[in-house]
Amino acid sequence: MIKNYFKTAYRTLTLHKTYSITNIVGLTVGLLAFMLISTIVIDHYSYDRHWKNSNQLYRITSEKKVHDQNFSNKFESAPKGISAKLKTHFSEIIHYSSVESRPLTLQINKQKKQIAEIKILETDSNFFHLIDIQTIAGNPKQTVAHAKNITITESVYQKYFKGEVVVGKVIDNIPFDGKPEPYYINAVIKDFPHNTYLHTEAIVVMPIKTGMEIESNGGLQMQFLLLKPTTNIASFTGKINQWNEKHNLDNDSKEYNLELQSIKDIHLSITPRGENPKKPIYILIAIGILIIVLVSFNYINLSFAHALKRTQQIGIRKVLGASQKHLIIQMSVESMLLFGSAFVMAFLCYAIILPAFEKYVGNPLTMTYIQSAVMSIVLLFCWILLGLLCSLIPSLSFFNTKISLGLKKQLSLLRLPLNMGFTKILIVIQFTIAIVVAICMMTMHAQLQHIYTKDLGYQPKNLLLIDYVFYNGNHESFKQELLKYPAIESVGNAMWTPFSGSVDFHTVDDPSNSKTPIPVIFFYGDYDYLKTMGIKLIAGREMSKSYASDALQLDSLGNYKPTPSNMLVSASTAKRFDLKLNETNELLKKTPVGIFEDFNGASLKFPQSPAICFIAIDNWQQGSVVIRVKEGKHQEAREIVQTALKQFFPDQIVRVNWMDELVYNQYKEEEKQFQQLAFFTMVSILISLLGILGIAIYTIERRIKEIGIRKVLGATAASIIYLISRTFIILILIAMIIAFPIAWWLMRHWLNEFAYRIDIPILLFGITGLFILIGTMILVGFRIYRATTINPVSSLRDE
Amino acid sequence: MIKITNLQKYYRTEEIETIALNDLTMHVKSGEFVAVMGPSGCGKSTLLNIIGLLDDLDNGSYLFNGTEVAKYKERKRADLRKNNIGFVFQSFNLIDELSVFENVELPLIYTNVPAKERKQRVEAVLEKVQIMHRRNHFPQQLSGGQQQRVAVARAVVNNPKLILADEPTGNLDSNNGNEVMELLTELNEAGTTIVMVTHSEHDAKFADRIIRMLDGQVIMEE
Repeated sequence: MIKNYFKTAYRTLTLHKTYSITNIVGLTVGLLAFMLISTIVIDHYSYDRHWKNSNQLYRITSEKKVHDQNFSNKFESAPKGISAKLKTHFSEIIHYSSVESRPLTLQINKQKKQIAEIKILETDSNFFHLIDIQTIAGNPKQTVAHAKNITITESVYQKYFKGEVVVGKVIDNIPFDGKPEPYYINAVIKDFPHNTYLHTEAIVVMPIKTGMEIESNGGLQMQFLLLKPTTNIASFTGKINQWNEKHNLDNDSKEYNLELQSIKDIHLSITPRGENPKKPIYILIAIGILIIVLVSFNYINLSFAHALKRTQQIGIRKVLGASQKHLIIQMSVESMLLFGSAFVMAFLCYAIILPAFEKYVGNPLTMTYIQSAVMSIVLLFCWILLGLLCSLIPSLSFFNTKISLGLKKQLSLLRLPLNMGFTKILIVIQFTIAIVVAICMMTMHAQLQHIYTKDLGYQPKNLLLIDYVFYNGNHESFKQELLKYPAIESVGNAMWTPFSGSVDFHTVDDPSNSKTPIPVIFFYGDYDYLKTMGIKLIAGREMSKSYASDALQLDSLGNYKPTPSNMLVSASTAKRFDLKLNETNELLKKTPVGIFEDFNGASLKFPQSPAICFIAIDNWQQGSVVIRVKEGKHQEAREIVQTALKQFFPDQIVRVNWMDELVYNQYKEEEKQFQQLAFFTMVSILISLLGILGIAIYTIERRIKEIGIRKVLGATAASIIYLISRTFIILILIAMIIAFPIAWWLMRHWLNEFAYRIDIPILLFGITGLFILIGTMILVGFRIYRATTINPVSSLRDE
Repeated sequence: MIKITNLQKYYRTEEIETIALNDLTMHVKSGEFVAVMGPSGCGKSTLLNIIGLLDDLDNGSYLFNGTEVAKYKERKRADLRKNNIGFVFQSFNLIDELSVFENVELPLIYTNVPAKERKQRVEAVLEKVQIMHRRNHFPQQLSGGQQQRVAVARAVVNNPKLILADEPTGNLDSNNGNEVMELLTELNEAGTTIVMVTHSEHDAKFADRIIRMLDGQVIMEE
């Protein structure tokens, strides 16, 4: 009996190749897209769940009790030393550790001048009680007193020490200032998996300080606690806050409320800046679900479209005594074959695409359908179940329709057009989804173009940035060396650039409302900095060596003398404080001698700071360098800079980047979202087109006699095409009417994340909808045209 | 076997009501071969649908082997149909995806006959209609006459009490048509009741009795 079902199903599918191939292609594309999307989502949710203590490992975060409107009040860290103090007071804590992630530059080989910058976790020996590591050589818990102890990962070993016995080796770092420090390599461990917040290339172990030795001094530090499994987190959090308030002797710590965050939640937690990393994940999940909805609707639509060819077969079976159960099983077996074939093909494509996909994502994916049999089996099970559910609707519909001996002496199923209403609804839903995502994609593209091309107030094009250099007194000679070359137009030193360095924040009273403080940013550079950045001066004069009060000076100890000095201000600052040139402002305590154009030094997702002031610095110990390069001289300029860096700073690892690339990379996440949406748009349009093609084929076959009669009576191909495609035009127009407000709402929401954004392009909505309509009509119209070329004698033969 | 009394059947749309069968009364004895004739649109096919339990009647009574079946629900009708009635259609209505053997086997599958017995019965009936040598062929590979013999085999494989034939020779040439009529005659001689709708006076002569219809009513019996 089962054999009969499979035989019939197989033969039915091979006999009706167009139906089968259309279905399998749609299912394969949809399933493949879903597999790729779900792999990313699973990877994100897998972070830090692999540690044996992951259920007991918590990070202490803090929030200021008194909120400052102008600065961040939530922190991913906690007052320094608090974890040590908590350990002495609470038995719930098994271990504690502080962790800091930073880069470390090491002299791998002095003779060969080989240096390496690696990412390290600076922590204490308790760290190894919190997380599980696999040691390859040495012992990370065995430390020496005469040097800092470093445990390197296998990939660092392979990259820099391959073949050597490295445990026991001492290598020096390359500090920014002061003497190099020795680092004792005490072990080599297996690489951490990528899906951990604690991802690192090496671990440096510092001595553990007790609670008595450190006071926070207002400083914060990343700290972790390993708690007993029976700890009730909510009540424990209450207890530690109570203790902090009443018994902690460190007054700085009392300014904060403490929270405990599971290590498993860190990766996807909202940042102190308010950015929610779950948002793009939710978008991906929504895309994945919508893809499954689309392929399901497509399958149901194509099944109904295929019904005409099946009515005879189904009618005969019913006449011969087939029950509802028999029909359902028959259609279920067919769906299993189709869905099963699609699964095999999608799986193969997934296996082939995966390496390239991991490259696109930027990291290896630890949980994939290839590596996890459980994931694959669950997916197969759910996929087949979906196929069975999809087959249920058409099979129940077929069984409930009446059979009769029709005029043509062929069995036919009455009331089949009832199913057409259902398929029309599905078509409208499919196209609504396709139009919404297409509009969202186009709007995203327009917004990205806007932020890429927006005038930032400075000129990132042809601007090279040397990230950070310790000058060793060579800042001027380095600058002059670069300026020797015609390819270099100008050079400026800076304590801050849009992508590196730091600024000074002060708050001053708002001149219009003395009760409200506003943050004022002071950034520092040399006399050539603003000119090199391309920031325009619109009033007053530039800073110059000729004026003694124009630059901060260093005293004999290397500290900046806090003497009143001149400054340049942004246009909006001048307006805000009603500044007069060359008149000292009491609030800012400096004298503006020039006004520069406003510029955006941060991502256009965030609003500009309300007040920005520039101070010049004369003597330099360290900083960034900005270099304006002549148009078309990029390669040459880069070589000049690299040569000069090797000459002046041979022991430093220095990052050199093009500013416009850094600007572009700020929107990497948005660019990725756009790419994902573009991919999904193509998938959804493809699937929707397959669906409507199936319905078109069904409609044409149902009306083939009508077409023949109309041709005989003199109708043109164009009039027949219009007659039959009218229904589809109406369906797509309905889909557009539903899609437009949904797309408008979604894009308004997305655009609100940008301080600088386009207006929602309503015209784009119409263009996108029209594009989809025209594309669909071409496809369907071509099919209808083919039907009009059939000789009416063939289609009217039975009359 | 069949006792139809004051049968009425209407086809209704929003605008019009058509009377397909108008107070029709007819009887068919067990073992009889009855031909039903009449012009197109007189209600022959409708009558056959009702006799074959493919359609329901609006008024009247239908006794099948002494049991009133007029009010039967679809499930009961399907059960009665598959165990008692075989159908032979003008356009054969074989399933293209199944071989000759599998087409004939189908009614036995739906009546839960075990596989071994199915094989025996199918082979026996294929021998009877002389199509055994084509058992593994598909309908598209057979001539019209051969397809109709397969259809007849399928109709009788379950040993039905009644065979309903709707213009069984309509798509066949005279030689093949004769072969099919002889098959039906043999079945009738073996005891199977046959009700056949036909336009052909030649085919009607094979029957014991001819019922002539016009406008949904029986006007004559010969």
